[in-house]
Amino acid sequence: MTTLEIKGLAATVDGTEILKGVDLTISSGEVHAVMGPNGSGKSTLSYAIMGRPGYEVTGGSVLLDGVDVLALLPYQRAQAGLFLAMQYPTEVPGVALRSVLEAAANAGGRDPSLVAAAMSVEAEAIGFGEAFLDRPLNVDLSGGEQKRNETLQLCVMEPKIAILDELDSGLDVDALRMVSRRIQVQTKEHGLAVLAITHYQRLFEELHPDFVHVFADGKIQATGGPELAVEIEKNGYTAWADDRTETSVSFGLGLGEDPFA
Amino acid sequence: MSAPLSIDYVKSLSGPQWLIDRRFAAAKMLDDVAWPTKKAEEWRYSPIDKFDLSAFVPVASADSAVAPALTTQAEVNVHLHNGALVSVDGAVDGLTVVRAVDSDIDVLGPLPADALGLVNAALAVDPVVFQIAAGATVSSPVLISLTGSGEAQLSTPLLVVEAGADAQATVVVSAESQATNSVVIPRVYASLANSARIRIADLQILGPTVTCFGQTDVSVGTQATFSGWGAGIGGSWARQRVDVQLNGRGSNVEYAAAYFGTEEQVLDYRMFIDHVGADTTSNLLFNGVVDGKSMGIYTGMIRIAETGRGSNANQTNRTITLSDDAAVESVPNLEILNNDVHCSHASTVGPVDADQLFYLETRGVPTDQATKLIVGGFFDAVLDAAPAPGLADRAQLGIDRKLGVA
Repeated sequence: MTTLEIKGLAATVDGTEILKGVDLTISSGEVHAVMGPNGSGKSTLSYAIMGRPGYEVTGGSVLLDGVDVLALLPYQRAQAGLFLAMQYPTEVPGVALRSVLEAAANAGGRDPSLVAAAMSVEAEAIGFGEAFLDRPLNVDLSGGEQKRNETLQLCVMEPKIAILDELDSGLDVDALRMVSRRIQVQTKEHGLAVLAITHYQRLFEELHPDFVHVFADGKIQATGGPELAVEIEKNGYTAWADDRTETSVSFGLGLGEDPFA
Repeated sequence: MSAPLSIDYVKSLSGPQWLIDRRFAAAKMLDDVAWPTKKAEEWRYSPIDKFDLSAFVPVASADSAVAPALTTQAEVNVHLHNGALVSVDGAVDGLTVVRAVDSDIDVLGPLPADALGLVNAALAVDPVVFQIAAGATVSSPVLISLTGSGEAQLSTPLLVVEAGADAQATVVVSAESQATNSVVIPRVYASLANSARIRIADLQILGPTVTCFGQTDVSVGTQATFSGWGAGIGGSWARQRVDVQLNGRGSNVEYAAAYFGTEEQVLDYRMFIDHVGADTTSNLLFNGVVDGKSMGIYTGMIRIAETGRGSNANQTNRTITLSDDAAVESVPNLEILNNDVHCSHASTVGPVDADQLFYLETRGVPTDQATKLIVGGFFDAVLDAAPAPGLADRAQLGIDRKLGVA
C-alpha cells in the first residue's frame, strides 16, 4: 500500500502565489479526479509535486510513504514511483522513446532489456502504432498520439502514483476509451493510484473516480464522490469560483493584465 | 602570423614544370598578401593573433603512413599522408583520378588570392584531381583519407573536384591527422557544371593538438546542387571555411554540420554563400555543442547580388553550451542587394533546453544521462543527412566518446 500525502501545499510561480494550501491524500488503487476551471492552478499542482524548475514550493509537504518528495530531484521523484503524464508533452528531437525508457529502467534498477517488449505490449493495448515507437519523442505527433505516448510510458514504467494532467485533451472518443480503460486496469491489477486533472467528465466514463475534488483559486474547495463530477458537468464551477478567479490567476501565470478587463 | 616558407624548399618539390612554376608563383605572391589578423572580420572571433605559422616545418612525405581511421564501403579509396599521396585504390566508371605530378598540363587552375590558400598552393606536394564525366553517376562514394603523423609540422593537402554537366558523385574527405602540435591546411576546390549534383562530406577527427585551416571553395553552375556535410570532432583549433558561389541560375547549396567542442578546443566555421545567379537557394544548418573551456564560432555571410533576384537563403546556427566556461560566437549575416528574395537566419545559444530536461527527468532519467540523450539527439538532424555509409557512425562515435557513453 502506497500513500501520497499532500498537506498545505503552497507554491509560487514568478513570485505569484498559485497554490494556496492544497490538502490531498491518495492511496494505492484509488482514482482521484481534480476538476477545476482554466487557470485555477491545476497544472501547477502537478508541476509542484514533480519539481519543475520555476515552480517554487513555499509551504506544506508532500510525502510518499513517509518520504519527503520535495527534497528529491525530479528524476528521483520518478524513481520513487511518481509519474506525470503532461498536458503538453515536450518534443525532444533525436531522442527515441525506447532510449529514454531503457535509461530510466537502468537508472531505476530495473532490467532495460525488458523495455522493448513491454513497449510493444502497451502500444498494442492502446492502439499506438509500432511505427511511432522509433520516432523522436513527441516530435511531429498529433495531440492524441502524444497522449497515447504518455499513457504507454506510464504503463511501461509501472509507477505507484500517476498524475494525469489533462490526459483527455486531444484524444478522440475511441482513443480516450482505450487509454482510460488501460489506466483503469493498472489501478485494479497493480494498485496504481491516479490523480487525474481535467476539465471534463468524459475521462471518467472508463476510468472511474473514487473521489472528485473541485479545485479553484489554488486549493481544493470541495470533495465528493463521482456524483460531484456529474454536477460540475451540469452546472460548471460557478458555485466555487467566480469570474474573478480566472482573471486574477492568469496574472500569476505571467500572462499580463487583460487590457479589456 | 608570418610566412613560414623557404623559397628553396618550395623549389625543391618535384613535379612537372607547370606545377613547379605554380608553387613558386604562389610563394612569391605571399610577399604581397596580407596575413590574417583579428582585425579582419572573418578572423575577429578567432585566436589568430596568438598563432605563428613559422613555428611549423613543411613536410611532404608519405613515409610511415598510418592506416585511415574512417573506413566505408567506398569503391575508390584515396589516401594522402602528410599531404603526399600514398595510394589510389579502386576505380569506378565516370571518375578519373589525376595526380598533378603526373600531368603534363595544368590541372589546378588559377591560384587563390588569400594567404593560407597560397601557402597551400606553394607547398602542395601532391595535388589530386577528381574528374567526374558529364552525365556520369558515380554511385559509390569516393573516400579521401588525409592522415598525418610527426611533430611540429605543416602539411598542405590539395584536392580538386571537377563535375561535368549532369554528373553526380559523393566525395568524403576524412581529415584525421594525428600529428603532434602540427598544422594542416587542406584545400578543396570544386566546380559543378550545369545540373551537376555533388555531395562533399568533411569529417574532421583530427588529433587533439592539430590546428587545421580547412577551406572548400565551390562554384555551382546552372541548376546544379552542392550538398555539403560536416562533422567537427577533433583538433585543437579547427577552422573550416566554405565559400560557395551560386553562379548559375537555379543553382543550390545545402550544408549541414555538427560540431562538439570539449576541453580547450576552438571549432571555427566560416560560411560564405554568394547568390550571384537568379533563383538560387541556400540552406545552412549548424548544430554545435560546447563543453569545458571550448569555443564554438559560427560566422555566416549570405550575400545576394543584384543579379540574384528570386533567391532563397536560410541559415540556422544552434549551439548548446554545457559549461559556463565555454564560449560561443554565432554571427549569421546577410547582405542583400536585390529586394525580390526570401532570407531567414536564426541563431540560438544556450544550455540544454530546460523543458526537455524536465520531461526526461520525469521519466526517471537522471539529469546527467538526460543531458547526454538530449545532446545526442540534437546532432541527429545533421547525422541523419550524412551522405555516405559509415560517416554518421564515425561522427557518432566521436560524439559518444565526448559524452562519455562510448
